[in-house]
Amino acid sequence: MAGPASLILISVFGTLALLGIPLAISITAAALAAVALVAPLDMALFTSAQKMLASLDSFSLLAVPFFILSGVMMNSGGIAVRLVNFARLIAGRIPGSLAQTNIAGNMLFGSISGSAIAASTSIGGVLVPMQAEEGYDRDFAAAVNIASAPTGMLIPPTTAFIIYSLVSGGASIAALFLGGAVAGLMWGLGMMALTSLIAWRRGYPVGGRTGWREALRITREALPSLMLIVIVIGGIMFGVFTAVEASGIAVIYTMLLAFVIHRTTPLRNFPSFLLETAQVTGTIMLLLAASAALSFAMAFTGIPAAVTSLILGLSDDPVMVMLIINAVLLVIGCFMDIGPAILIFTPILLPIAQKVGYDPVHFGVILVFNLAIGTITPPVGTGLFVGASVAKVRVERAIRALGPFYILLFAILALVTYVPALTLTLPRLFDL
Amino acid sequence: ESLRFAYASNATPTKEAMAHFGELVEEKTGGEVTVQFFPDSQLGGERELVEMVQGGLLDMTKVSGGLMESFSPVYGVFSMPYLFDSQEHFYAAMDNPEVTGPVYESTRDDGMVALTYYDSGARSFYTKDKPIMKVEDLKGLKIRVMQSPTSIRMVEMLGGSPIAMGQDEVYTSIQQGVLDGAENNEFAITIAGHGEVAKHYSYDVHTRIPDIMLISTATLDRLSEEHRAAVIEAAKESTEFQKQAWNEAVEAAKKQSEEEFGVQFYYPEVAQFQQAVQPMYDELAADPEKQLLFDAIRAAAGNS
Amino acid sequence: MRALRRALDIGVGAVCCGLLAAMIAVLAWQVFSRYALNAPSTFSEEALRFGVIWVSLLGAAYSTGRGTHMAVDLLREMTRGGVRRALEFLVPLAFLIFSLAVLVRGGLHGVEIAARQTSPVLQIPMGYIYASLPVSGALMALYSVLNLVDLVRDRRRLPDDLERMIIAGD
Ligand code: NA
Ligand code: NA
Repeated sequence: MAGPASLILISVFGTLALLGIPLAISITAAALAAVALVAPLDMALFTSAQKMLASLDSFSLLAVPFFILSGVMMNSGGIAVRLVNFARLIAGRIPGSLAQTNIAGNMLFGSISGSAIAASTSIGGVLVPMQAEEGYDRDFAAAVNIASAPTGMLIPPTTAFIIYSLVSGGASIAALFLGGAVAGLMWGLGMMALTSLIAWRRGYPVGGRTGWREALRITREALPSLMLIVIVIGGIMFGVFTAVEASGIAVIYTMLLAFVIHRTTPLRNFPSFLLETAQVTGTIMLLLAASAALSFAMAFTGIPAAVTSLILGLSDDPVMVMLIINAVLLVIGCFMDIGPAILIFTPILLPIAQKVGYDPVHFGVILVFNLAIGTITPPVGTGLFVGASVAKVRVERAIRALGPFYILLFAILALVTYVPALTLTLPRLFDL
Repeated sequence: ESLRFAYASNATPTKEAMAHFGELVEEKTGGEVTVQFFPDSQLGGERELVEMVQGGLLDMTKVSGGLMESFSPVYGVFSMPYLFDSQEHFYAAMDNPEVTGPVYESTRDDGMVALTYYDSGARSFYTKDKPIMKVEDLKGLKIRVMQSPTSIRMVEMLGGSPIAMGQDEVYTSIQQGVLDGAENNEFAITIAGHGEVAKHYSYDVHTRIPDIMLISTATLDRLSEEHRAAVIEAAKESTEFQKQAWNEAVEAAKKQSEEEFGVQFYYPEVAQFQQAVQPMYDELAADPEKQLLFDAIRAAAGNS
Repeated sequence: MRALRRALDIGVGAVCCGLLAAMIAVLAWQVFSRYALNAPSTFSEEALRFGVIWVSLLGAAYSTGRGTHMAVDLLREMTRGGVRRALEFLVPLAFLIFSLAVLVRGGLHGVEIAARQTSPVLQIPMGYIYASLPVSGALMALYSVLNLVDLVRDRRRLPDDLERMIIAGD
């Protein structure tokens, strides 16, 4: 059963997706085709509809629209400038100051807004031109911005882990957030180290000292925005509230910031933020629902079991198996976006990883790390395209400048994959 | 012909009984009918599985009797606290076709009927900070209950704050203090690992809610008379098989809870709890169908 | 046609905004009742779960109008003229088939099955929850027809990958 079913599934999905049919529809059609092999079409239609609805019926999912809304409101006014100033304060004395500022800014902004694209446009949009003016190579500046933007997908709050938690059958969101924070920090600090090495060899300028009075002012301005990270991570870490409650608190806190404390935007803009949130939520959730229909179709026709025995047939050595899984994920990440990739491949790959002794939380971090790399690699890499266009350099040139960064990222990925203690120590310390 | 049978997560004796059911069907039909299992929520949660049986995509499933209340209200009677006096009374009532027959048939117009039940043990409270020795101990405690109106009502009557949430969120919620405790059989301590966060298990034995095995009416109609009889017979025999395995497994779980998880067991006076939920029985009279089932079950108490 | 699109946008948009605002209030109440009053609300969790379902599916319909659902644009970007135009037409057509077959037809089957179920806590008919599928499907179908008409009149081009990503904020 698994043989013909997987053939039909892959060919229907591949053909429709290539023709430019929206992914959610291509996915559902593939699911329908596979189930229709063994059941009447009408039944397949009902089951797909039922699976779509059931996948949306989850309390944890509530965190998705709420974290999106707080990100949308955060993006709306003046916080990019505040965070750039603060990032310069902490990273401005390292060789390649402006590039370092860009990395730190992307980590902070990406964490808060949860969007790599928003980070690379608003932080890179300010810092790449400044670097060009100070004599940095424009391709290099673009590469630094592109390579550091995805850190926000790992540093919490992040919707990727909420979605993973759901499809993994309940891996703790809180534990994923902490594990992801460590992986995201490793990514960001790694970029900083490599950047300072390149900047030092090329003799890029080191920024001047900031007076303490100025430093205090900058910190005070950035503090309310930074508090969001502290509230979310701290609250979850010390068990004050759950991830879903954290998302609600993030929304209310961001509303206070936008409408009362910073007053960056008038209250009458609130409905437009809500509308944007509903729209983004709608696209993510339709994909999630479609993927639920697909993973049902796969389970029903026995595909995950077949893939498991296929991969474990090649090797049952954990190091080899994870090498294969990572290679598969990197290829998937080259062609697919992060959300659908998590939804479709978790049910297939997680059981294999678990069979060779991997913890679901650890595997979630590996998965998201992998797919986050995929957003900045050719041929399909939205982070790559957006970053190149923000810096006004051709994509090919950005790719060439990204070379050493890719190599470093693979090295960090290997560390994250083969040293479980890196991701699991912190969550275990806090009993999550 | 192969019957598609899906279920969610379960205690080991129940899983074994379902596997045994599969073997029996094959044996009795000389291999003409086989059962294909989809275990461990592979195809979805219990509500979805029941709907798939109704829709005809699945032939069979097995779910908690508590869930069945939202498909057919009369099942709610099984969730009533202190309905059964003992395990013997429970078996005597559930094995009596005059008691269970009308309930099993109540969903026929919705495209499914029940074939048999499995013992799912007695449910009691287990808590994080202190044992429940009397009703007052429950006052203000946040207790997780199944998503069943009767269970919610019961905890309210006992003075606790019922929170209906999914089983998979219970562990972290107790740990983070979002919940003070929950109520379930002993397997929640071991299989779900709740013994790591809740150390007090108080045997107030408030409910014995049976698991229910369902089959689609379309499947029954499709089977030949001979095969249909074989499936029904196999279901009944698997229930007897499950009874044998159940008590042994509960004892093992209890032992494991004490030794591995350091859980303490308490035996509060039950009468006071029975008293507190009395109004629920007065409310029952409003629904004649429920009252009928209730009377039949109580009548079986003397026979056991 | 334009008036119809505008009316749809305003209607669906307003319901989405209202639902989201209400959900913020309910979650705030849940957190408050749990921590400040130490008497957790029993209804909020179920209400919020149902809210997410409706907002997600209505939001999906709204996004259909905007054309912001994720797709692979490789082939479309590579082609010109008649082929490209044909590929552009495929999108609203696929939406039309998907929404009518899966969401409306499959969803109505679900409504029928769920009609006699009630939700455990709020005791509302589960049919109201399942109804989100056909309702959103019908809206999606309407939007797809409008998109199709606009394509025929050449009044509108599909947003490209980049545009969609920026709107989707991912
Ligand atoms: Na983030
Ligand atoms: Na890529």
